Amino acid sequence: MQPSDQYQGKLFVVEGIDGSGKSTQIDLIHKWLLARGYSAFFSEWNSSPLVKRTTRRGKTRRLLNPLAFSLIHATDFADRTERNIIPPLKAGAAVLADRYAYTAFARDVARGCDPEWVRRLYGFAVRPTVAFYFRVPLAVALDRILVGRPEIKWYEAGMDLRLSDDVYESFKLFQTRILEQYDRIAEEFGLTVIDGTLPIAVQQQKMREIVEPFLEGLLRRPQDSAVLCRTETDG
Amino acid sequence: MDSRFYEVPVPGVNLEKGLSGKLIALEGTDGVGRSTQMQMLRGWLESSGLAVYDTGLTRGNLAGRHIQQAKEGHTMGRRTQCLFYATDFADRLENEIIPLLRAGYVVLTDRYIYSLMARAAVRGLERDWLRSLYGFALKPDLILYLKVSLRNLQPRVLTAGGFDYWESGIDYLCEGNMFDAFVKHQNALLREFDHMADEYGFVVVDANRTIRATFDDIQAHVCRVVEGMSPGQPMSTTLPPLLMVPETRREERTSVGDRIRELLASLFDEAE
Repeated sequence: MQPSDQYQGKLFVVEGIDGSGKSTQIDLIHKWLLARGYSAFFSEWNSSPLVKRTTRRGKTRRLLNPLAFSLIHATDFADRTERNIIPPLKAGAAVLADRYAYTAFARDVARGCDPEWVRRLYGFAVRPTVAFYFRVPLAVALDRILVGRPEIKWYEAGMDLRLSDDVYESFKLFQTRILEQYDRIAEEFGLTVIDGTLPIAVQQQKMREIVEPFLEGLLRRPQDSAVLCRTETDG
Repeated sequence: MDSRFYEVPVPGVNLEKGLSGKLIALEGTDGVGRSTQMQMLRGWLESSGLAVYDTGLTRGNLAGRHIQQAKEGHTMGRRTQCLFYATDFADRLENEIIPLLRAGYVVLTDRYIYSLMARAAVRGLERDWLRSLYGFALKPDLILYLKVSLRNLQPRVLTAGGFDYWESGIDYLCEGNMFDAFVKHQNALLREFDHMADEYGFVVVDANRTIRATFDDIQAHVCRVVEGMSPGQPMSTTLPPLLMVPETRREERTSVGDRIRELLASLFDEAE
């Protein structure tokens, strides 16, 4: 990955399996930064408008083999890096990302891609200032996700891997594989581990303590932009 | 590791049983005459009794159309574009090329990973990264590199409809006009191809000559690769009538339609 100290801005990312609580926490950090008067840019996994149609087409028609699945997500990531991540970092702002390259390292490898190949593929990614990894036991995450037996999408459940004909069973097996990868990744890349079983406020407090020292000198929002808060949050 | 792939195998694809078909890549810069040669090659191979499939960049079912649309908007960053093309390539490799090679087809591909790498490299992407990215590509049985000098290329591009936005490299060059950009860009591409020629074992074909002379060379190389596949041995090198190119014509024809029109016109001439 590319060193982040070449930029004035700071990059904070959250990682973890589905149901680990990471999105809740990064959203709270986002609002906290905005309330403190900072400019914070938010970038979400799989959100580039340029490749959205292709991803949707691939997913609804089930055209994606593990390799194409990996590459279309890398394309999405490259577009967001070029468009939404590097420019605000250059401008000295805080950038927040819900899932980052580590998601690909975990998922693509769980799908059978070569671990070294995936790591080199994402070699252009900016190394985060802090990457939080929300560690939860599989049972806890499954409880959070599967309550009320929601509809789980084909690729989310890893149905393409033919682990099981049952969506829920497949989902569990796939998440198990991903969790194994995450634990390896956390060590390899020195991710900051947060215990995702703690109460939400406790987790948030820990994150704020870690983020706080990096905030000095970051780009601030214009004084009269309070009304824009919502649009920025959506964006 | 499966040696049919450059660096890493395509996940989930097992080639232990082997591929009975042959993969032939035609490479070369824009306007060099690849599609003409592809059509002649296809006609000849089919008339020799071989099953032929042809493919090319952005023809994939998954991403092809969307890449074309994104290019019209000129909104893609260079790495994004590179990865979008890689996605299309991976889709075609796994869903078209490999299954057809298993089935014993001769798969002709109009450009392969080399063009994709050259285009990205001249736009500043790291060569090591590109080589690793395309490490999952299948090694072709034959890579024909149609090499042309820039001087010979210019009139062909002009006849074929002028300079294209992307083919002139104006998206990354600071030239004020498309001609200067085109010259710079194509020179850079030719240098990239020359670098790759040894590393990847390109068979260089001099494409500065007539279509027929170029094709004769191509035919000789392809003959060696598909030897034994044809039901009638030895393979005839005669072209089926519609694909004959009159020796006297030096201008390159870019589509079959043009050649058919030409042929019909000559028939009418004879009738008179």
